Amino acid sequence: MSDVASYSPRTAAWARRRRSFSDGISRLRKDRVAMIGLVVLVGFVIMALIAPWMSPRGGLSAVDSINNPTWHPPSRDFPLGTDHLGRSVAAQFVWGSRVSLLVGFAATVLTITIGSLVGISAGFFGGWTDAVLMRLTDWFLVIPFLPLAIVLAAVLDRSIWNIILVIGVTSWPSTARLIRAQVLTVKTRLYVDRARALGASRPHIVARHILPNVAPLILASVTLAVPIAILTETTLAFLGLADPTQNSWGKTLEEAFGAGAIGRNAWWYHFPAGLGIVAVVLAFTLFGRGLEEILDPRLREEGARR
Amino acid sequence: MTILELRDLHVTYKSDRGDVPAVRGVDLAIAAGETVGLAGESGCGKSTIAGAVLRLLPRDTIVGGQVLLNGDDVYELKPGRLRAVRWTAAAIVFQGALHSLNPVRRVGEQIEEAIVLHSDRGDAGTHAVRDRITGLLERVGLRPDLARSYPHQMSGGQRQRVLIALALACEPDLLIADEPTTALDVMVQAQVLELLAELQRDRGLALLFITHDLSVLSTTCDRLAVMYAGRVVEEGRTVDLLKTPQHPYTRALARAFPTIGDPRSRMNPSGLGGDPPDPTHLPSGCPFHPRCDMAIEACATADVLLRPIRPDRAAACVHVAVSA
Amino acid sequence: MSELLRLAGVHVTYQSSGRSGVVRAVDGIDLTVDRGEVLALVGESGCGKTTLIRAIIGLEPMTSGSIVFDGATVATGQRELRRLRRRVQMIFQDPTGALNPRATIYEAVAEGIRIHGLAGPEPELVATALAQAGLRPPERYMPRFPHEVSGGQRQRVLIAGAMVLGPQLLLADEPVASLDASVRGEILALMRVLVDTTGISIVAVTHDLGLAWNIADRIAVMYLGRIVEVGDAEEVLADPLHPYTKALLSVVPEADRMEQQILVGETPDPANVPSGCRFHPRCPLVASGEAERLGIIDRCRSVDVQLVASPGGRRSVACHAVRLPNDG
Repeated sequence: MSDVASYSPRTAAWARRRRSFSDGISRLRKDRVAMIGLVVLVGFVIMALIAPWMSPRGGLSAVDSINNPTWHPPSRDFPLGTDHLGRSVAAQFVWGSRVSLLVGFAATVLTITIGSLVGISAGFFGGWTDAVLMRLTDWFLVIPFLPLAIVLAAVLDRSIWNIILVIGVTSWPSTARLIRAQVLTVKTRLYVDRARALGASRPHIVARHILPNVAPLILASVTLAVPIAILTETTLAFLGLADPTQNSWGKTLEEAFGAGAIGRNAWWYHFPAGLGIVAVVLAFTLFGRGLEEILDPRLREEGARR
Repeated sequence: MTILELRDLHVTYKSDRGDVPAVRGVDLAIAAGETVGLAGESGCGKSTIAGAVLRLLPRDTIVGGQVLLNGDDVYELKPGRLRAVRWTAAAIVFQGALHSLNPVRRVGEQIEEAIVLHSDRGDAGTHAVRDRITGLLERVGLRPDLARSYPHQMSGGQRQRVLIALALACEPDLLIADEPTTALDVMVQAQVLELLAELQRDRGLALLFITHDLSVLSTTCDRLAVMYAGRVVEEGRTVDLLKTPQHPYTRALARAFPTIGDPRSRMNPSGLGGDPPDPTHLPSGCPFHPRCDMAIEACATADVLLRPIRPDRAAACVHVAVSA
Repeated sequence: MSELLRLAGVHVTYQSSGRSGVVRAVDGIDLTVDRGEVLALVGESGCGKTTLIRAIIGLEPMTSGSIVFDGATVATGQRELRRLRRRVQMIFQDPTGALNPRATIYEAVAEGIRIHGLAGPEPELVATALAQAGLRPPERYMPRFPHEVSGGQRQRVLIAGAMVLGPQLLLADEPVASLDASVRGEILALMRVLVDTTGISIVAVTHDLGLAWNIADRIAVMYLGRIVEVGDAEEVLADPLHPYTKALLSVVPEADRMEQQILVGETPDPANVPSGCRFHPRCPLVASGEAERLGIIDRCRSVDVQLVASPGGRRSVACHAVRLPNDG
């Protein structure tokens, strides 16, 4: 048996984290729906990462595609056919996944960062801080999102980073509210009182007690924020507000629509991008739902207490 | 007349860790007008018995033996009859009144619902039902106008009274009170105990009183049964049992709440070492032997069942001499 | 014995949100606690007893009054509070809620050591504290989570986490109210042993007079934000003077030696303190006409009553009807 003097809290903590991590993994494995989501997601991420090797960037250029047939249905040379300018739809699909996922992830990082900071400060400090931050949040919440995003996207330069910025600054309020609510419940827990009675400072309480008990919620809201960001990017691109130099699925849809793919019954032009969006969004939602079930402290604590 | 009779009741829960035997062979009978106390630590199976009587346990729970309510086996009843039996034959008062009441409905509406659902006393909103609600509230010592309040507007004691009124709504023959005073203050506890005693006296109600606090039972019950690890380890008339406890576990429980003024307990709190047994891994032999200060070698191997001492008195301990 | 804690005129009031006016949770408390003494602070819920001990450790802001701890007046600045909280510690009624479910028992006990930067090898300090609180062998408990041990053991973890700082005063908020009867005595015995071996003082808030009989040297009975009777535990319990103390004692189950005096009505509301003696609307002396016979009924209704000490100072009562015996 271990001797007291050699007991290392850090080793024990890591062993425990490993254990609960592998616990979570095995529980996730049993969740078939979440696993399907995960597999689809990983597939898209791999595709996005190896896009440069899968299809040369030249496939996206109308100039380089000048000799290709236009409106060509799927064939051996063009697995997903060509568009009205003779460009490979497959290349657009592969490269488009890059933009959609990048925007999805980057905008989510921004959303969650702002949302968490605002939510935690408002919830923990309360009083004036809370009042000011929450009025700000409400203000962002009541502004109709799409017009604001359109105005911002129109005013700013049309770059992919500005799209990310637009999505980030318009979608944090709901995250902030969610996290603030959780902080408020955690704050009233008796163990926070105990920490105060032990002489703990505010930073200590936030770091040791509030954050660990809010983190699962933050993680869960990430998986919900990503699909929203992807859909928003699609919307903006479809409205013609995308970065003109980058191919995203939304932009593909917009061009297909503009070129009259629907009227020509050129399903191969718009279907891949549309299905890609649906697949990624659905995969995220399925995976996120499974993750939430594993991370939700209520469900877990209930289970542990039985 | 016997209202409730348990015959060799076994209850086993299903869990991820395997079967959990919560009740392992309990015989108990309660007559009309009688108050029986069921005492024991958390996890001893006493609340499971309450659930077993009204069939409120999870679906996959295995129940063996018989539960006879007014002579009918509860586990043989058809669903329709079962609904009728719940609440009209036996009703239950839980601890933590706040969670047992619907927070968004007025108290009066909740009592009305119980009356209308479980009896043919009339439809909602009629004079008869309204009079009945008023009568019930007065019966439990509440002002009738409190029917218009929401649960959160009431104090803990008032909510507990509302729960008792709800339980009485269909004039059951048996009232099961599961830790009804645990969350309450001393003075309110005394009020609720007095109310229960009064109801029991006036209406000839059979009362099954479940708690971990022997001292509460001492003033209210005719008979006591002490449970440990899913079995009754001692039973008898209250005064008799508390004065001369035969099982070491009963003795420890009785000593846990001191008699104020008794010099033996002054500056000398008395408890019971060790932990309650894990139902999935019960100790061999007598399940109490690891915590027992009177254990002998045989206790580790030989299980002991209830031994009759005299009429109305039995204990499950090797040190108890079996009466002829 | 020398004095460790002195409260003088302590008030804690809140602005009540719903109705008009203020909630006078603690309404003028004078109280002393000696070194190595266990004081039971007894009363119904809502009488302000928990608010009072939370005010002592600075978890509730004091509206007015002063607290002298170990000879020095307690200031309310963050740094002073932090220093105080090493010497005054607190345990709670609900040990399950008071432990962070995501922290191990080791971390729960080590938290105070880290906050105050205590010298010495942390694992050994934790192990000693756990063993002192009766969790032996300590290394078996250190890596466990709160939900993996029993309620009584969780309370022991809280006690270990408080004692590891070597405090002079332990505030215990209903330390055994949520525990099983069998565990109750064990925890109380532990508290008494801590007092006898380390010389710590304990203020235990409770509604359980049996607890006072089991471990307390002195008792203070609180009603609606005030102390109505205080004295040696044995004396107060054997011969209660205040009608409220008498009523409390009479409803202790098993107390068949006296007629039960169940006070009617609910616990009184600190947002609405009655005039005169604050106990008079529920007072059995008033209800039975005894007060009228004594000719004090008008004073009961209109004159606020103060705590009066016996000549020897060991016993104080706040009741118009009580003349204290001379205890020398």
